Amino acid sequence: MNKREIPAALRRAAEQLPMPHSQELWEMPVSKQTELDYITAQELPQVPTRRRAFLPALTCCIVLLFFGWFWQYRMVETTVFLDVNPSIQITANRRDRVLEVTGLNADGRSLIEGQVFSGLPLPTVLGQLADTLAQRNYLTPEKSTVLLTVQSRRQSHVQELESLLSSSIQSALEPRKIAPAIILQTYEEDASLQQAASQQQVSPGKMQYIRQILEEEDDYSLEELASMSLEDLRRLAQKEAGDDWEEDDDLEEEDREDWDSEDQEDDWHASQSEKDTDDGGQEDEDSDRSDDLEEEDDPDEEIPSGEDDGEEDEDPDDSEEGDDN
Amino acid sequence: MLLFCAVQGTYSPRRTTLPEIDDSLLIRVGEDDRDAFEELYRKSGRAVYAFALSLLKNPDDTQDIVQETFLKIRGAAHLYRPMGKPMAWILTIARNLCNSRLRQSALSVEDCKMEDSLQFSYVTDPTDRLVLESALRILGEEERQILLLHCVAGMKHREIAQDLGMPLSTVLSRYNRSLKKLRNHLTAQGVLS
Repeated sequence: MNKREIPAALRRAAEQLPMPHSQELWEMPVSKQTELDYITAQELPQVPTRRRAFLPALTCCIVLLFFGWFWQYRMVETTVFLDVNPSIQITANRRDRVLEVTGLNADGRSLIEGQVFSGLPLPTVLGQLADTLAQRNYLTPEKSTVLLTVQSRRQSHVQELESLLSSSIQSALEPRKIAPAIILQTYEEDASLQQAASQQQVSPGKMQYIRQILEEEDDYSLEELASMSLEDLRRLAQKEAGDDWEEDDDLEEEDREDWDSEDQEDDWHASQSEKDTDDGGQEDEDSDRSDDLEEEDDPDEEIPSGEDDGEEDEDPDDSEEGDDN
Repeated sequence: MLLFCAVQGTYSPRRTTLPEIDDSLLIRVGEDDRDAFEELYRKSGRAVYAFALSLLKNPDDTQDIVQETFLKIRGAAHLYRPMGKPMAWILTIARNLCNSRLRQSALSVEDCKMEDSLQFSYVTDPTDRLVLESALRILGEEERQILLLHCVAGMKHREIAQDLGMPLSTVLSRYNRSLKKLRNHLTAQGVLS
């Protein structure tokens, strides 16, 4: 026997071993199983190891890709509240592309109806909205206050965004000869603020502005301020910030200028008349004289000694010269 | 007969291959189709026997297991879920029954000494008997399975790999190794020239 005969020898030997007959097997009583047991359990098909390792890795890659896409394109990175009288909320992704524009009150919803903003750059959308506001006379040369509230996950980006959006609004309104007064503020997310805003049907940005006014203003309630226009709110805010007092300061400055330019002569004359009636007015006279001396160009001119007004009247040129000086 | 005489004692140029079994046969068995059952037994009985013999190394126990296997098939074929590998399910039933039998008898494969050579007295040719006994004694469990399923049941290496859940390369290498081991043993015994 050679080695090639081994398989045949095995087969011949096995064929001679006794086996049950099929008829006997068929005739034996058998109870039908109601479910597969541990003997008859079917094994699930085994996935080859390489494919088994590949599938989780592929799933992981898909999940990572999806998350990356979502983070870049679908996750809200920036929220902007635009308040004129309509209140509008604009959300944008990390690439400053608009995700959604929502009207927060009836005017806001009416303003954006029928318009599609999704996917557009944020500054473009702000410009479009500003133009629409002007079209519908929410913004006019007389009523030009815009409250722009910006919130972003990237704090470093907020300032740049505020500047960009302000420029966009100004550019959009320029053809209509509207110079908007843009109030910029950064929004700090606050649950109580959002709730209050929702109750008053204003944007959280406007509510934040109102709260700042309330900190200084006691004469108005929250509801009253919420019902005010943005123009009125801005005036109120400026008043509380002391702008009226600054205006008085301006007036004083203005008055000082006027005094310097026009009233000095009258004052001089007035002082001279006081000297006439007042014997003890030497000091004043001296001060006046010293002023005159300072201003005197011509040493030959007589220095008034405080006698008759007539002399002074007769020499109006002296004072004029002094005035000139 | 002439063909049989011509090949007797010599290497068979063509090995008997296992007839193909598909899921529909098992489904018909589940419907108590006798013809289907007999066809199933005819096509797979030898493979079940060879497989059980490789595990139990005992012809009498092997016969019992073959009987129990096909009775189990009759009782559970209606619950069979077609997966395209009916032979794998049949061999799994045979394996589970063999393991149960071995646990009951508390005999491991390695402990089976095969001292009673009368078990293989059914085999008339002493050389063939010696070859079979040597294969069951010296080879490992998987080597025995692969060798007997290929040589006795006529299963292709690819079918063996699929039904036993092994890579094809493993089946091929273990088959060759088992033949080499058996050859060396038989040469040492003076059976092989």
